[in-house]
Amino acid sequence: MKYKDYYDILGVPRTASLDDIKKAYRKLARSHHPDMSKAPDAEVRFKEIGEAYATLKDTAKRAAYDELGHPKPGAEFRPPPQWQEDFATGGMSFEDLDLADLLAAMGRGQRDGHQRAMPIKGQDFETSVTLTLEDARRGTTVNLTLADGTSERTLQVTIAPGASQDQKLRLRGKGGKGHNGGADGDIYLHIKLASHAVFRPDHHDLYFDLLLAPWEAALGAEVEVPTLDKPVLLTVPPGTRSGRKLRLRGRGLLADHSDLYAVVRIDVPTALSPRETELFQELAKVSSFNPRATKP
Amino acid sequence: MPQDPSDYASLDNSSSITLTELAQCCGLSAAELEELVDYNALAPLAVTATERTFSAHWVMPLRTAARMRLDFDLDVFTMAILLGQLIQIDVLQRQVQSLMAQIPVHLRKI
Repeated sequence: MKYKDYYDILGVPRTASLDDIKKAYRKLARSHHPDMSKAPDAEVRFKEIGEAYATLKDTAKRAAYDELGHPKPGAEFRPPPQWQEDFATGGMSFEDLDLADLLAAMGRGQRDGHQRAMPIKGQDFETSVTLTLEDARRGTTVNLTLADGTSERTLQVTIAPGASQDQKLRLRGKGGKGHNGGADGDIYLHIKLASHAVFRPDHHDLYFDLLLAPWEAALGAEVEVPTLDKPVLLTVPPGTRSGRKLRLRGRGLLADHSDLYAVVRIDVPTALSPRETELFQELAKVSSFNPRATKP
Repeated sequence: MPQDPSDYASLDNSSSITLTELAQCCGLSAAELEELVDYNALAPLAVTATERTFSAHWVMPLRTAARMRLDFDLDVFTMAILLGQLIQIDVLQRQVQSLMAQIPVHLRKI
């Protein structure tokens, strides 16, 4: 078994108080937490710091650890004979354990050979899956690959029609196997929606930009618009302004309970033919419309 | 054989979860959850004849808060504050997402 210097890992002297140990741990945890540190070894370092703290914050574990003396980090050592008697019950050998396992077992009451091992819940998995908007509306089946210890397994999950962005599902008991009568773990599945060239999701509703020519907006029109299923005809009412949202009922991600919105944007031709120029000039002469006039 | 929608629960306001199950999901004790309720950080839906029930939308933020509690050795009161902030971030992210969906593409390139 290899020795680890937990005091050195936390950067505290062997006489450090519990408060000093806690302060040192929090400081290191803040800099090495995988959510905060971009260092490639952040996860390993954080685990090491956590392992050191789990032992040194617990008076009994710290005393047992201190019994080991002060070998060099990485040096092979033999745990005291009493440990052998206490831990190596049920055919378990010290060869199967490392120092962290051994000290962690103390917290689970395994040092006393007469106590029953505590039930341990199986590992939970948190994973995500990215769906296209079409699959989210129609429903689909996804394969989840789960790294269960050293092996991998695949679980098929049927996603019901109407999934939405950031929806979270819990698959109870489908995670890792429990131990000593503990419950099996769960799978937490986070659904993400892939970005779409046309549509933007807002919960179960969808939005897209509808470009209109000035005369379509002013006179009204029937225009073909895309949906996740097939194109449909949309009636643009006369006098439609830019920014107006035209609703297509039941065309969102959750059929019949969500909608598709066309957000109107009026576009103008950048180059005009002589005839078009003439018509616009004529319109400018006869129209009394002033978009900058103060509205009542 | 694929897991059908009846085999899983959506973790939102549409489903509920008991105190015991919520504790198991988040790796917290029932007493710790009760303490969070006392701090008004966690709101039960109702108290049934047997135990409290909660909206399932609490599960994910509570799991995150409980993980951070372990990672940074926080006490339950700090976790209560953290949980409130996590929920607030989630609400704001949803609002941003909603606004981004409604704003035309040409106006979003700030």
